[in-house]
Amino acid sequence: MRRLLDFLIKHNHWLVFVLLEALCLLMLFNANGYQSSVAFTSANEVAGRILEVGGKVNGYFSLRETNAALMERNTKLEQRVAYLEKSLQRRMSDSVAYESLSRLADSAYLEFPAMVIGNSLHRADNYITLDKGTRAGVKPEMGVVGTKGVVGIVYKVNGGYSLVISLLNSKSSLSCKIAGSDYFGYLKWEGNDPRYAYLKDLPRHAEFNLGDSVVTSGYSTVFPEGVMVGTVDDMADSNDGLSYLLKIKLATDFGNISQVRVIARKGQDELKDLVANEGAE
Amino acid sequence: MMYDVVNKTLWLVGLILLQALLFDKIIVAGIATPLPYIYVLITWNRDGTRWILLLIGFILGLIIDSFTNLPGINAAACVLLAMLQPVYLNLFIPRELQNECSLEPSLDTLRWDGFMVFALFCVLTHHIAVVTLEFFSVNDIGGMLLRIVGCTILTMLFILMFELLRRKGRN
Repeated sequence: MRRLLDFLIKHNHWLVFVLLEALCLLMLFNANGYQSSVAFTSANEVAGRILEVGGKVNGYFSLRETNAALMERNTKLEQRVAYLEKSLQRRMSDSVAYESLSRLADSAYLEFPAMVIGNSLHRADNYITLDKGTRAGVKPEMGVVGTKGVVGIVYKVNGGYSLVISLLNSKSSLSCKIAGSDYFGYLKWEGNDPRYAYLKDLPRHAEFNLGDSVVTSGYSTVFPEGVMVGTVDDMADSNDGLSYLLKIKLATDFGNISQVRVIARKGQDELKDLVANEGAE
Repeated sequence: MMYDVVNKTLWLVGLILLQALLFDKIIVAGIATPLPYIYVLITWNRDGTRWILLLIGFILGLIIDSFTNLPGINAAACVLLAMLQPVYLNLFIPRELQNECSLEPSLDTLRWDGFMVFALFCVLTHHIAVVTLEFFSVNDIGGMLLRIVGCTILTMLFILMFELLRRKGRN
C-alpha cells in the first residue's frame, strides 16, 4: 500500500494526465445535446465580449459592401411595395379589407436586429455568435435571417449573447420549397463548399427550372413562409431514385454577414406546447 | 520567479486573444489554420512541476475551444502536448546543458536545428490530435493529412516569428 502511494505521488502527472484527457473526451462527446451548457461555447460572457470587439472591427471593413447590398435590396423592396399597393388598391375598392390585411402582415412575427460577432465557414459544424441574448428577447429555436436570406437557427442563448446553428452545419435541416409551388423538401449542407447546400426529398413529379428560387416552406414555427434560401443550381436523382436531389446556391454569402435579424413567431411557445400535449395524449 | 509568472501570464493572454481574433480567421486554401497559441506550452521551463503544466494546457485548450464551439478538442490536444513536451525536451537538450535544471527551450539554449525539430515534434503531436478529433473518422485520410501538414507549416512559421521576437527582447 505504502509503495503504491509512493508510486502514485512520484508519478502523479500520469494520474492528472489520464483524468484530464478523460474529462476532455467526455466534454467532446457530450457537448452536442441541447441541455449542455452554453458556458463552453463562444456565446459565454467572456468569449462573447472578446469576439464583440473583433466583430466591431470586422464590421467596419465590410460596411461598404453591406451598405451596397442593403441599398439594392431596399430599392427592390420599395418597387415591389409600390407595385403591390397599386395592384391591391386596384382590386379592392373596400379600404377596410386592405387595412386589416396590412395589420395582419406585421403582427405575426417579432424581429430583433443583431450583429454577427463570431462566424466560421470551413469546419464540419459551423456556428455563428450574435451580440444579442435573452436580455434582448432572443430564445432558442428562433430563426436568423440576413440581408439576402436565411442564415440559421438560434441554438443556445445566455444573457448577452447567442449561438446560432448556421445553415453550414451538419445539424441544420431546413424545410424548403420551390417558390411558387408547394413541393417541399429539406435543405442539408454536405460540407466543403460554403456556397452550396442540397435540397433533398423533393418529389419526382415536382416541376421546376434551374435558377428557380428556393424559399422556406413555413411548415415549422421557426421561419415564416417564403423567406429566400437560394436558387436551384443543379439537379440529380437521389440514390433511391424516388426523389430529386437539388444543388442549391445559397442566397446568403456566409463569408460576409455582419448584420442579421432574429425573427420569432408570436405564440411560438404556445404552438409548441400544443404539439407536445397532442403527442402526450 | 515573480517576473517569470507575470511574463508567462502575459504571453498566455496575448496568445489567446491573437488566436481568437486573428489566427482562427486565417484559412489558407480552405484547409489550413495556424494554431500558434501552443507556443507558451512549447517553451515551458524544464523544471516546472508536470501536473501544473498539464493543468495549464487543459485550461488553455478549453478557452481556445470555447471560441470555436467544440469543447474538448483543443483541450485534449494541449493536455497531450503538455504530457509529451518534457519528454521531447530531454531528447533535444545539448549534452553540455544536460544538468541545467531550469532550462527554457529557445533558439539559444537548443540552437537553431535543435529548437526547430523540437518545436516540430510538439506542433505535430498537437495538430495530429486536433485534426483526428475534428474529423473523427478514417473516411478522409487524405484530407486529414493535408490539414495536418498545412496547419503545421503555418503554425511553425508563427512560432518561429514569436521566438525571434522573444529573442530580440532578451538581448
